[in-house]
Amino acid sequence: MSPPRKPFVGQEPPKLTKVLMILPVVLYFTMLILLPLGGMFWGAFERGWSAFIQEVLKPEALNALKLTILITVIVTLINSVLGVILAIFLVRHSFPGKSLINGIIDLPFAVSPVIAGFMLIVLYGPQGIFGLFLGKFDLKVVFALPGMIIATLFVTLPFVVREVSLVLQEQGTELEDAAKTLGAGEWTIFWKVTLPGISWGLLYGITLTVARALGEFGAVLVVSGNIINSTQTATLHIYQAYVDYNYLGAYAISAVLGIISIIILVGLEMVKKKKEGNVFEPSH
Amino acid sequence: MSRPIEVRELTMEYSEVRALDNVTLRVEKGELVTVLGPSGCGKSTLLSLISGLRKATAGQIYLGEERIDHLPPQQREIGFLFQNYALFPSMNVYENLAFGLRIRKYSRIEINRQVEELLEMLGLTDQAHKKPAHLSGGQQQRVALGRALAPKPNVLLLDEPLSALDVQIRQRLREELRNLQKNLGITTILVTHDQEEAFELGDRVAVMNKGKIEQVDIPQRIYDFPATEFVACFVGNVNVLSGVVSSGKIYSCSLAMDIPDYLKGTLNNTPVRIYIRPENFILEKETNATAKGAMRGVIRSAVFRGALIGLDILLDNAEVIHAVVTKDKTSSKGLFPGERVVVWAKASHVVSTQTAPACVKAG
Amino acid sequence: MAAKHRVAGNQALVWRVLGGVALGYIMLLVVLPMGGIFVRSFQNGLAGFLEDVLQPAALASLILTIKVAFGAAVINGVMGLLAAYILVRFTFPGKSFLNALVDLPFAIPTSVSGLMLLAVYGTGSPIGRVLEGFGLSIAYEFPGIVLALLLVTFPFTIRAVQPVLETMDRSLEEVAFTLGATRWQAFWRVTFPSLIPSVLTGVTLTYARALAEFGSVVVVAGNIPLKTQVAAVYVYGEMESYNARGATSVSFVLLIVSLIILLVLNYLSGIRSREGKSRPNQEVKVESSAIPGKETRSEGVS
Repeated sequence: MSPPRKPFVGQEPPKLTKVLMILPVVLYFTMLILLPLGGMFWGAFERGWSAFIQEVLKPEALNALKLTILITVIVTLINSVLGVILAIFLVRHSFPGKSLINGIIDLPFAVSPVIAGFMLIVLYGPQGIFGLFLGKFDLKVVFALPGMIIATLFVTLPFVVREVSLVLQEQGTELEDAAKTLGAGEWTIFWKVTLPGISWGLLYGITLTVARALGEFGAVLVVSGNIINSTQTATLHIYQAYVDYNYLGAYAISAVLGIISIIILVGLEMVKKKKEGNVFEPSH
Repeated sequence: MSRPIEVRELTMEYSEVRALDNVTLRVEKGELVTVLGPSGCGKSTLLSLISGLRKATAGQIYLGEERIDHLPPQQREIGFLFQNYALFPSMNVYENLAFGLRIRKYSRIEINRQVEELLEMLGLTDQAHKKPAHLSGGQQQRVALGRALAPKPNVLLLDEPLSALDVQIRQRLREELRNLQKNLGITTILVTHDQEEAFELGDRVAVMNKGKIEQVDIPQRIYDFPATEFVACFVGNVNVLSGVVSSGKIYSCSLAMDIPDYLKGTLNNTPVRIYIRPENFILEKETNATAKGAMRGVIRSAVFRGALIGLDILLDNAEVIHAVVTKDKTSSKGLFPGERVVVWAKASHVVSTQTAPACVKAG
Repeated sequence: MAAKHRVAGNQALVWRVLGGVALGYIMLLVVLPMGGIFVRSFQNGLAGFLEDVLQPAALASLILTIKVAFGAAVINGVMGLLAAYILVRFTFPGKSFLNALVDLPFAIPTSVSGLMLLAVYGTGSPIGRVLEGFGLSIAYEFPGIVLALLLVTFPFTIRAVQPVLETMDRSLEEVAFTLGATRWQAFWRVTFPSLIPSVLTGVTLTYARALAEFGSVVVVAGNIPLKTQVAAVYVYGEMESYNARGATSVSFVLLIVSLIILLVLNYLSGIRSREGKSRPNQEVKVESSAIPGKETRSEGVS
């Protein structure tokens, strides 16, 4: 009898092949993510902790961070509430033009943020269609907080809607039907059945929205006019510092945002795992 | 309070497709009617219309004397057990059972009393604080049943209540379900594709096909006197023979049978199909005596099935039929493979003049 | 009975009102502003529009954008497929660390991404100096733009291919082995064909994102007309210099391309959901089948 041939099923290729395949990938990750990440932190702490902290505690830096947080909170609230309503409507109700609305929801993903900001200027700017009207009431949208909020709303619109619709579709209508046959009204069904079901999807959408709102640059840059201490968000502050050759300042605030990003990412992973584990299936 | 439920001329169309076609069915107070049919026959649609989850295209639904088809599901007081149970995953067993009672704004004490009672009845007292995901399939099924029963509905609708379970526990739960329904005396409609389940549980069985009810009757009569080709084919095993009408009789080769009433007046030489259950053949060992109105053939094989023996008989016209006889008969009559036999048919069978067969299965 | 009925009716009405508000919201937020751009682009007629787009700097920016986006999409597709494959099929030390890194570029603000690249490959950095020694400069050059685009589009192909590869039936490959195929043949003839839709989805998402990218590119490559000015940067520049016409017209072109890409993505996700969910029809369930399957998880385009 010849010795049993090594079963190749489920086995990995020869070591050399494996290394030759893994190496470029590791290199790719290192080149694009690890080195740049390291470079940024090195730049931020090049001159020690105190210099770093000094940069972060500069009034304009603090104001920028505060503004970023304010915008993020407002945008997340609005897009979560309206996102859930939109998702329920798109998945559970039928109305004429539904697939068109479905497509429109995705548009902000495809539109360049600069153009998103520019669209708002065209509409609400001093010469814009609404701008003229708003000007009469002394309401300023462009180059002011409302415009920055609207711009951020635009770029983050799809996150909650998409995540919640996916979960709603997966869930199907059975739970809601069951509640109906038990006598529950629409409102009870929403709070007791639908919302618990979508909670992890919603949280995932919210996390994505927060991450994006914190980091939005292009759209906000265009709409804000980048006025220091007034309409300067954290990302705009970084850009300004970089343009002014204040590299330490740029890297320091970048590092702050980078750390927040990493925290969000870890949270996101946890939510994702929960979300996948939450899908309830009766055991057969 | 349990009440009778009745649907009249119910029709449901989804974009050109008729899921339900003019269905009329009355279920008496305390009665359990099983609706049996292949998947896609419209039986689940029937339940969703009765429960009010969907609106019928036409027809009426009556709960007792009250017409209810305009009411939303919330106001029909009809319990529904979903195929996959649809237990609320975020609530534990107790909360699932209490859901309908809380909606009805019962007092906390009353809810507690009723839920405890249900838990006891279903044998789930120890599981009260578990989430549905941590229950076995059988336990989940019981919770779903308890949740549907908790608000004391007028009617209970069960959509394939046992299909998601293992074969072993299915049998036990079938009995439990039957006892519970009888004890509560609740009007029940149970939908299933499982013939055994339909027969064992139903006071009456309604057989559905392509959106229509083909026959409603007690199980025994459904089996013995199928009203249509489809029922003959779908319920139990059946042999399909081709034959022809000739002077008041039906012949399949030399096998002669009486013509049923509903085909009286059919012209001579009309081709027909004849459906005969395997146990409705009478077999005798071939002797030299003439056997009038019978077919002849040879037993090709015998399959042992406990008390019964299944026989494959190759007829002299090259057709094959499947017959079932008791074990005693095979030995007393000497019906063994290789023996030549004479075959008669008992009276109960369906004859059809339709050109397209309702099924092609045999034996 | 009647009172209860009215309550249910009121609740349905509330939902209808809420739906109206939500629809009004996206009209105001998305449809109206885009309509504004469309109207503005053709304010001076087709000729005016063409004149704006055919300005040397405008045309150059559009062509550059298409080129760099293409480069980024191809590299992202190839490397993403390879990375997804080894992350799913191989075990090696540090694998879960790499896997966790994949999503990082989505979480990092794009302008920060640009700065991160400059920190490593900029003229002042050690690596930048070495590269320059070989006559290859990254900052303010074509390669820098591609690098920036690769970073911000990093997860698209990997995350599109990974789940498909994970759920793929291994026995298909194993059958190929038993029929005498080598590992390489099994991959090309059995595995790869079923990955094509998801690779294409990843590449298309990358392309869309690359066309739209602004933050990282403006930091890495600056704003040098005819050389490193991509379309989004050109729009920004024209706006800053109060040339609204030029900005609008180039925006219009980008919007149209984005719309086309969205349609392609919808088509691709249609293919994927059809292949993934070909199951026999059970009871007629019209409601669920009437909803177009949205399978693509398109994340952050900035």
